[in-house]
Amino acid sequence: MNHTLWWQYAVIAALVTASACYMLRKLAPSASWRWQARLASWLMRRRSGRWQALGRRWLPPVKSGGCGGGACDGCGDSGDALPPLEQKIQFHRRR
Amino acid sequence: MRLTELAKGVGAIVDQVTDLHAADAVASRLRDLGFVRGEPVRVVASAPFGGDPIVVQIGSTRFALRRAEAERVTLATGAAA
Amino acid sequence: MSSAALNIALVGNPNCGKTALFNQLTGARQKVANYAGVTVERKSGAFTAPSGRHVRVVDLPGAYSLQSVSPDERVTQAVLQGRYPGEAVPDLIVCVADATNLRLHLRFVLEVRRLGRPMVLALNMMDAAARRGIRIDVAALSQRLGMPVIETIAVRRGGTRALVAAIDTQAPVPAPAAPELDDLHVEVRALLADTVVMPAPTDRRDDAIDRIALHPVFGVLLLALTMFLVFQAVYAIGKPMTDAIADAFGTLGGVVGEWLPEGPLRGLVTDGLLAGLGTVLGFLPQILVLFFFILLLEESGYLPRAAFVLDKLMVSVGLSGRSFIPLLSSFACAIPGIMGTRSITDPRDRLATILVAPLMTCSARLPVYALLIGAFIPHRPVLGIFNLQGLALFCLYVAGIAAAMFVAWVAKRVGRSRQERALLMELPSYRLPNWRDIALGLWERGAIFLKRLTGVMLALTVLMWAICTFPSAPEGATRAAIDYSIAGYIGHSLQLLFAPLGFNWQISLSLIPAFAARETAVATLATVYAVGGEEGAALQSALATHISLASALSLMVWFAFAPQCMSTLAIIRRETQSWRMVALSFGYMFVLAYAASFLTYNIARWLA
Repeated sequence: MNHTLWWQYAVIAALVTASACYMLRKLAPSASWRWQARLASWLMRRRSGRWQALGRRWLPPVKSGGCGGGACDGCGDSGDALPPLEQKIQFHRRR
Repeated sequence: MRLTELAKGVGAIVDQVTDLHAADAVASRLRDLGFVRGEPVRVVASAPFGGDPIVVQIGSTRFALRRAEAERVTLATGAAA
Repeated sequence: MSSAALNIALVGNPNCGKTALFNQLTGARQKVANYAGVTVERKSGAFTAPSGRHVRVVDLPGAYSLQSVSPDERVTQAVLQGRYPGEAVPDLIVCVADATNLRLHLRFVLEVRRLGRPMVLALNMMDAAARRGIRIDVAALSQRLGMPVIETIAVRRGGTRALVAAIDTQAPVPAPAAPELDDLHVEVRALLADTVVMPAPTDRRDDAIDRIALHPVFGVLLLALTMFLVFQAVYAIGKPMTDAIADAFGTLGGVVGEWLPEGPLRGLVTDGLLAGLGTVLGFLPQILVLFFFILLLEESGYLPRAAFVLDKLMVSVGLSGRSFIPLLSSFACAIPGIMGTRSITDPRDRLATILVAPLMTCSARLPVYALLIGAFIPHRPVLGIFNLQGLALFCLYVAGIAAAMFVAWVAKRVGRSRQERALLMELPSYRLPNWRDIALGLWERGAIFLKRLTGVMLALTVLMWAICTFPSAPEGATRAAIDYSIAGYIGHSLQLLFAPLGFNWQISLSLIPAFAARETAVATLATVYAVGGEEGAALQSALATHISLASALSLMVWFAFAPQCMSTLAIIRRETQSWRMVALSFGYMFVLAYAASFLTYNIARWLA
């Protein structure tokens, strides 16, 4: 490993970590939320006010967003809980 | 005569829509859509081998209906339009 | 400056052109969400009236009646009465009606009038009415209904100016007069007799087209021909743009390569990001062309005719007529399609449709098809004007549909329950597509694609590049450097499973990120080959030299029937509340894809 290029490896490591975290959130959203909640509550128990504020911000919302539990990248809509009486042909719901 | 027995292209007048069972949502929706007494109706197209589903023209609208849905519609006898 | 913001609600029957009207009023300033507590879509937007007044518009779901049979109608009624929790009472109701079909639409107008709230009637599609010679005495109608009646042409520029003016300058609109008669239909007939002159109940153009479109034989032919032509167009129009983008990224890669300092970061940018993502981005034109035609079909009003024609076939393989829409939606993405199966009452039918929906080739697989077809199928004309590549794409889509029919048929043998299969579908008038709405739809599709590109695909490409590059080759390495990386290790292990299908280790590796997003297979292949030393060469030519036609065909077939992405599996889990269904879905498709690919590879090799 060429040591003059350490900063490049640092950038790459950061990018790889960020990508890995992103994928984990996408693939296992509920587990990710749990970990995030755990981290946030740990932060909120610290003495310093700044960490507490950070912890509060990190607390996950009560409702989980997105149709696939956050796994989907948002292609469309939510269906109806009960069947409609007549067929309405619409290829996709417009956003 | 029922709507399912109407020949293609022949005009007729609707007599009434009968419920197939209690609280028949389909029948009530048919009434909302214009299948009421005195309304002219015509069969525009029907699927081959048994005619299910069919396309009917009621007033100035076209609907595709199953035989089971069209079965609920009775036509005035001796009427032609 | 103006007074407080005005809240208006748009209501109307389905097919009255309400959406086009909403689009014209609010432009791109729309927001789609859900009503609190139910899964009914809530569309809202805003615009500024000429007087400077801020107007908030809510587009309520189209409904034939306020009888509250379905959740859509329940929500509509509650919102109109101001009873829906969290929803502001609409200050003004704008009821939209199709001027060419007042016999149907006026009944709803009268029903809404009974709510006793200030309202305005917008007679839409006046251009079609004029063309058909329908004359409406607007003043008389307005006087009889007790509300302002305004003519609109939602699809024409400025066609809503009168409506906006009416909304803007109205002093508080008085609540309309009490209903004259109890029976709405009798009242509608009386109104029509006095105010509307309609030469013929139907449009001659509709009659003429439907004579073919609804014909048992010609209708099917028309549908098949339409699909065939669409795929021809995807290639004829899309391919030149794809090639141009590929060239641009190639040049960009060269330029960036010289500008960045030596080291692994350069590899990440050129081999990972530019090669990987750039290749996928190159297929955006083809996706957009496909959606252009799909939107065109949707806007034209042809789709209900297609549903009618296919209904017999659907029922014969055990899918209900209501399966048509969820399955059609799956051409974009299986997820809304699977959620759309909620409209199917029969649980067995619903399960069958859910299992079958992913076989409908989703738009995420299009880059994979396009890549392989572009690399292996020669650009040859067929019968003079058609091209072979478009034909190949058409065949792949048809294969997906045929497999869906087959699987549904198999599912039908397993269990059967007799339940009423409702259809009750309106066949609206044919109309010329509204270019602005199509443009909006394409814009939204492009935005979704770019969001995926810069989200999941970016993350996966970075990770894939990393595992392709590290660890680097040890001293005295004999094979290519990439063989020593994590990717090489995983790829070669996986290849043991996929060798009978003709997949090399690079393809086997790319199947893993394809789980998160199907398009990523393309990005990963590009990255793997770029890191592996294909300097400056486009992925298509790299593939052409490294894998055989038989392998390519086998891979295409794999993607046609392949186990779907993680998001789809998650949705199946959520909709069926059962892991068994997920396992079944994944399992049967894996077996189907493996068998089909195996057959394809060996038959292709034997024929060559």
